[in-house]
Amino acid sequence: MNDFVKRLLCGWSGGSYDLDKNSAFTQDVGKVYKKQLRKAVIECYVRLAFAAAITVYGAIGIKYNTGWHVTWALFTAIVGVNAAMVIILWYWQIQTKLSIQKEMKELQLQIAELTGKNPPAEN
Amino acid sequence: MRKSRSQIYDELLVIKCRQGDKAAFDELVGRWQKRLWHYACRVTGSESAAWDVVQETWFGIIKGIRKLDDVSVFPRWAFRIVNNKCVDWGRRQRRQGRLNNELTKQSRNESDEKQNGDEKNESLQAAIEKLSPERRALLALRYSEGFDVSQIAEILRIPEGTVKSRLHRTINELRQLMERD
Repeated sequence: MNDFVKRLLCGWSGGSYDLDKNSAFTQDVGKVYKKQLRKAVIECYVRLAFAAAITVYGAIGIKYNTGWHVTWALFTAIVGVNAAMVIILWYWQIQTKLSIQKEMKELQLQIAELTGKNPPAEN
Repeated sequence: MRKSRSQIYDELLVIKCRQGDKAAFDELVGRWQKRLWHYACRVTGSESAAWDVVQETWFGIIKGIRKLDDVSVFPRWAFRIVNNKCVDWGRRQRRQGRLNNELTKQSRNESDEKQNGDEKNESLQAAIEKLSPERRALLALRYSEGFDVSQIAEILRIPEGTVKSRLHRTINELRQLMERD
């Protein structure tokens, strides 16, 4: 029965694909991707700027205040520095991970092309 | 399980997209767009709706690709998104009070003018049009896209047993519809 249905479904029309519409569509989607990318970069810089601002605020507080205000300023400065570090490390970690993954995939592709066979399975 | 070169290349493109490579994204769209569109067209039964659904799907992919840690799941993930968008589209249609059958008939008439299929295919098309979009999705995933039961279960987020029983029921229903015609 399954083979019968499979054979029949080969003739199941999936509509006629409009190639002209496709190129315009690809451009539109590409623009949205670019916009999203820019948004992500801006978001990252805003967070980094916010962390830097907290650090500067804390540093100024340490210099000009006395008593418990200094403690508060010190706390703010530490939070700011750490937040900035976390943001930078997070970005670096993601980029490094992606670079390694990319190189691994390129290597797998090269092996497949050289041997003419499918590459070994990943663990 | 060994991966084909095409699968590895897709994974490479997804990684590049996550890195912010616009050219890789364009290539990924080029490689997957047609397949997703045909799936959407089969489920919705309308060519114009398929364009809308696929556009929403790509917007969803753009939003979520940064969080896609396991790049090997991209095909199933993309089909899950397109399927969800098709379901949303169906809900919107019902809310607007339009009959799905009218739309499918209309679009089918358009495509009928363009192509001359044999009688067997026509009766099959007619029978498929009578199925619900959920059932059409199941058939398209299994027989047109070639996913296995476990992958369909992952895409539709239902247990494997449910996929098997629904497939069985859908095939029986299709057979009955074809016999009736």
